Amino acid sequence: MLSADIPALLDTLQDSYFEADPRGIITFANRAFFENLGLPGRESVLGRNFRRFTDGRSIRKLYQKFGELYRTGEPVERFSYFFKPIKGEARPGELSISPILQDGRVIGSRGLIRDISAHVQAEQDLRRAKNAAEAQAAKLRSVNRVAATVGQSLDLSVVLQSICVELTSIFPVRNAGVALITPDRQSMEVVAFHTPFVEERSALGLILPFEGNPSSQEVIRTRKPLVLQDAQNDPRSETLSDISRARGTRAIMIVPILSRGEAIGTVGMPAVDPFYEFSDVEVELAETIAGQIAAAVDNARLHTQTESALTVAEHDLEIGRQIQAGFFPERLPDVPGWEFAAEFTAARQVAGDFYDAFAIPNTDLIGFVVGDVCDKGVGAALFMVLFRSLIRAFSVDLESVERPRESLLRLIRSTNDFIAEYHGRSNMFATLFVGLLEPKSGVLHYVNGGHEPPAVVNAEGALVARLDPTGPAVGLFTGTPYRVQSHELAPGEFIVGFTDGTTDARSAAGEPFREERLLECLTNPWTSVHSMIFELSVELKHHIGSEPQFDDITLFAVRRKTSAASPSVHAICRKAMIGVVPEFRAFVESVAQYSGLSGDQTFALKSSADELCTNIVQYGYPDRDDGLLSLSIVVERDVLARIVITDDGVHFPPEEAAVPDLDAPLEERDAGGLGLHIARSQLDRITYSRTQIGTNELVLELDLT
Amino acid sequence: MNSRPTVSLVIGSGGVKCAAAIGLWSVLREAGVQVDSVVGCSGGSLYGAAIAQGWDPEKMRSLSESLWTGDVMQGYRENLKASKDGSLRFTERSGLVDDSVLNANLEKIYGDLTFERLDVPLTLVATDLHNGEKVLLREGLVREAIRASIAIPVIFPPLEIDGGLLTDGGASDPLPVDVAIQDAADVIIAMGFTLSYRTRFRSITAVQEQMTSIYTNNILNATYAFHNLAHHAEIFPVIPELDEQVSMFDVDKIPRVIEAGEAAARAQLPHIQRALAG
Amino acid sequence: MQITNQKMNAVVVVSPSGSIDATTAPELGAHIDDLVSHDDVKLVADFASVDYTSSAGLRVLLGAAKQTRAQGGDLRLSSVAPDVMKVLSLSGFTSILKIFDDTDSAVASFA
Repeated sequence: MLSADIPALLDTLQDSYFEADPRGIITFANRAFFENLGLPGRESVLGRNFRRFTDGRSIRKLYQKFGELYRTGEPVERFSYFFKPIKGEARPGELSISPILQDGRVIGSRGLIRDISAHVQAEQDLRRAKNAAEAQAAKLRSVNRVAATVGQSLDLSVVLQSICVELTSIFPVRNAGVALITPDRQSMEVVAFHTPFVEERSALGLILPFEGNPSSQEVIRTRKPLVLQDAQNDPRSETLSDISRARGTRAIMIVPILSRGEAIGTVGMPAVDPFYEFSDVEVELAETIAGQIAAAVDNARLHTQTESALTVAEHDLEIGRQIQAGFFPERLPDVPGWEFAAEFTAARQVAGDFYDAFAIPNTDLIGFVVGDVCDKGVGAALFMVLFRSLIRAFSVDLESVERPRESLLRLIRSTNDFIAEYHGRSNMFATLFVGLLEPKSGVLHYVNGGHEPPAVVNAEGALVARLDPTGPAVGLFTGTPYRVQSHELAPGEFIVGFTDGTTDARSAAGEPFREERLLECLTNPWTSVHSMIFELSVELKHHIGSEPQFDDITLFAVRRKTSAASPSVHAICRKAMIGVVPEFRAFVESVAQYSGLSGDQTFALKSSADELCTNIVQYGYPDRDDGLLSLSIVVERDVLARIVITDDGVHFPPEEAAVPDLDAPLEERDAGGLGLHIARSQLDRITYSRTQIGTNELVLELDLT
Repeated sequence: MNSRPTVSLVIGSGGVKCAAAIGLWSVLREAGVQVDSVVGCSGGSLYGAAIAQGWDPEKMRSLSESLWTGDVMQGYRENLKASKDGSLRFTERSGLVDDSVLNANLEKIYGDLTFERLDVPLTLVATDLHNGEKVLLREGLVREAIRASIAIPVIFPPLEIDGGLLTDGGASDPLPVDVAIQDAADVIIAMGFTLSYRTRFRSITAVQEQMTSIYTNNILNATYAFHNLAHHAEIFPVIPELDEQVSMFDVDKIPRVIEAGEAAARAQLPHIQRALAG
Repeated sequence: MQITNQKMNAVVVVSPSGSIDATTAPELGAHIDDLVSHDDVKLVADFASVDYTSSAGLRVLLGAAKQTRAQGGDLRLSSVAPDVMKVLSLSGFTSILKIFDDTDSAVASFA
C-alpha cells in the first residue's frame, strides 16, 4: 500500500520524474527534475511546457513518442533524447513515458528521465582511449614496417626513402628528411626526403653546413632531440629559419641518428600545423625510428665494405687465373705423323696442376710435361708457374741432340736443385712427368718424378705399358738422383698422362672415378687422341655431375699416327637418341677449335652437324630405339673439313626431307627441311649415299681455302 | 583478339601493271574495307604511296602517265652507245638514263610529302646494291623513297640514302609480305605480279630484262610460299590476269590493267570480308 | 635449360640461357605456351644468355610469334648474339620477326 506522501518519495529519486497534461504542460515534477535542469525550485518548472526543457534536436522525436502514447494509450519504451538545462550544454537522457488513464482515456502522461550523460561520457572516454590505443598500435605497426623495410633492401637510398614515407604517415608533418654528416664533417647532406604535399619542394641533396646552423649542431653535439616551437624565430635555427620562413615552418622536431654512441645525422620533421606541439611520446617514437635508420646506414656501410673487399679479392684471383692461363700452351705442337691432345679444368680459379708441350729450339725434339704441384690455391699456382718456366728455360740449353737422355737428366736435376735450394723453406714440390720425344725415331725419353704412371695404349686399344716413376717428386732435396727411361712408340700407339685429380674426381655419392675406370676408358681403338680425350672428359663430367670439382683435372696425350701422311680422323659414336645431339655438337666444335679453324668455320660445322644429326635421330628410326649414330671429322689444314655422319636408320635422302604435310603449320610440317636449309647454306657440299650394308652416309664438306 | 583485325595492303613489283592497284583500291573503298598499313615495292611504291595518302582512285589513274613522260628516258641511247664503246665510265652510281626528268616528275606528283604526314603507315622497299639486303624506307620524303624503290638497275642510277646505295626493291623481295607479317598485321592483301616473259629479243637490254623477269618470278615463288607458312592468319593474293606485256609507254592499256585489278580484287573480296568479320 | 620471366608493365620478358637445340627447345616451347595460356601475349625473348640455336629453336620462336599475334600480341627478340643471328637470317626469320638490340627497346616497342 503506497504511502500518501508519494511526492516526498518521488523527491528522493535520483532520476527526474514529471507529469504533464495533453498539451505538455508540466503538472508535477520531482526535485531531481528541476535540480538536474539547474533550476532553483519546483515553481520554475510547473506550468511550463516540457518542450522548453528539451534540446532542439530532440523536439521531433518527442512529438513522435508522445503522439504514440496518446494514440495507443500504451507506455512508450525508453528512448534517448537530449534535455536542456538552463545553463550549459544539452545532456543526454533516457526517457520513458506512460499514460495517465481515466475511464480508459489518456488524460496525461508521466515520465521518468535518466540522466545518462555520465554514462555517455564514460562511453566517450572509453572510445577515446580505444582510439588512442589503436593509434599507438598503428604507430608501432609503422615502426615494424620501417624495420621490415630496413631488412628488405640493401640499397640504402631506397630504405631511407621508404622510412621518410612512413614518417610522414605516422606524424602530422609536412615532410620528413634524413640528413647524414658529410665526410668532411663540416655539413650535412639530405640523403632522403619525402613529402605528401605536391606543392612542397624537395630538399633532397640539400647541403646544410653546421656553420650557422646551431640547431643541427646542438642535436649532433648533445645527441638529444630538439623540438623547436618557433623555427622561424628561434636563434638556434638561424640557417633553417630562412628556409622555415619560406616554407612557413614554425614547429619542427629534429632527432639525432645515433650509431655506436655517435651522432651520424639527423631526422627533421616540420609539423603541418605551425603551432603544433610535439608530445614526448612522439619524440620518443621518432627517436626509436632514428635508431632503425642508424641500423640501416650501418648495415649498408658494412655491406659495401664487405662487397668491396670480396670484389677486390675475386678480381685479384681472376687476374691470377688469366695470367696463369697464359702459361699454358696456346697451341699444341704440330708435328707430321704425330697427334697431341690435352684437356685441363681447374678446380678453383688458380691451379696447381699443369701440362706443357713445346718444341725444343734448334732441334726437332718435342718436350712435354704433366705436373701436379703439391697443395692447392695461390701458393701452388705460383709454383706451377715456376716449375713450368724453369723446365722451359733449362730446355733451351739442351746442348747435344745426340745425347738426349743425358740432356733430359740434366734438365730435371737443374730444376730440382733450383727449387730445393732457393725455395727449400717453402717446402713446395711437384710430381712431374717430363718427356723428350724424338719424332723421327718415335722414341720417347722420360723422367717420371713421383707422378702417376702414364699409360701406353696400342692401336688395337690394348694397354701396353705404364711408365713408372724413375725418381721422387721434384723440388724436395738438392742432388736427388733421377733415372731416364726410354720407350719406342709403335705406329698407332699413344701415351696418356694424367694427374690424381682425374682419378680422384668425386661423384655426388662421394665415389672417386678410379684408375681402373680411367684405364678402361683409355683402352679402346681410338681413331685419334683428341677423340679419346673428348670421350674421357664426357665420362668424367657425367661422373662428377653437378658436384663442385674437388681437384684439378689434367689429361695429356701424344700418339704416333699409323699413317704419317693422312690427317687425323676424329670420331664419336653413340646410340641414336635426341639427347646425344648436344654431345655431337660439342665434339665437332672441339675438333674445329683443336684444328685451328676460325669462328665462322667452327660455327658452320657445328651447326650443320647439329641440324643433320637431329634430323636423323628424329626421322630415321620410326620403329626402333636401338639405332647407332656415328660422326667422324677430318680437317685438312687450309684445304677441307669433312664430316661423315653414319647411321643405320631408314633410307632418308635429304632432298626428300622437304616433303611437306600441307595441312600442318610450318613449325610442325617442316620434317627437317629448315635444318637442312641451314646446313646447306653454310657448307659447300652435302652428299648422301646408302651403303651396301644398309647404312646411310651423309658427307658434309666445307672448303677451308 | 583485337577489336578489329588489322589489314595491310602489299603492292609488289610489276612495272606499269602495278596500276591494277587502282582497281583493288576502288573495290576496297567501295566495300568499306579499312586499310591500316601499306607496303610498296618497286612499281608498287607509286600506288602504295598514293593509297597511303588516301588518294581517290580517279586521281591515281593519271599517275603512270605523269611519271613516265616521253622525256623520262633522256640520255639513254647516247649513254648506251658510249658505254659500249668505252667512252662512258660506269660505276655503281651510274645509270644509263639521266634521272633529272624522273626526279622532277616525282616532285610534281608527290611534292614534299613526308611519311609522317600520311594517313596510314607506309613502308617502301628498296635493295642495297652493295650487300643485296632489303632496305625498309619509312621516314623522310616519300618521293625519295619511291625513287629508290623504282630504280630499275642499270637504267636509273641508284639513290643514296643514309649511306646505302639503293636500287629496285624487287631485287631483294618482289612481294614483301614479310614486312606486314613482321608488323603482326592480321589480314594481308597482297597484289603481286608475275612478270611476263618476252618473245622477241632485239637488244642487250631485252635479254637483261628477260633475266630480271626470270629471277624475279623465281624469288616471288620461293618467298611467297615461306611467307604463307610464317603468317599467323590469312594472306589474300590478288593477282590480276594480264598476259600481255605492258611497257611504261603503253598508256592506252592502263584502263584494261585497272579493270584486271578490279576483277581480281572482287574475286577475293568475299573471302576478305569473311576474314574481317572474324 | 634455365628460363626466367620478368614482367615489365604488360610485357613479359622471357630469358632462356644456354643452347636451344632439339633437346632444349621443347622446354622453351612449353614455357611460352604456358604464358600464352595465361593471356600473356606480349612477349620479349631476351636472348642475351643464349649462345646457340638450331632450327628446333626457330620453330619454337615462329610458333610463339604466330600464337601471340593471333591474340593481338607478338613475340619480339632482343640481345641476339651474332651466331644466333646468323641462323635467324639464313632461314629468313629476320624479316618476319622484330629483333631489337636491347631488352628495354623491345619492351618499349609494345607501348
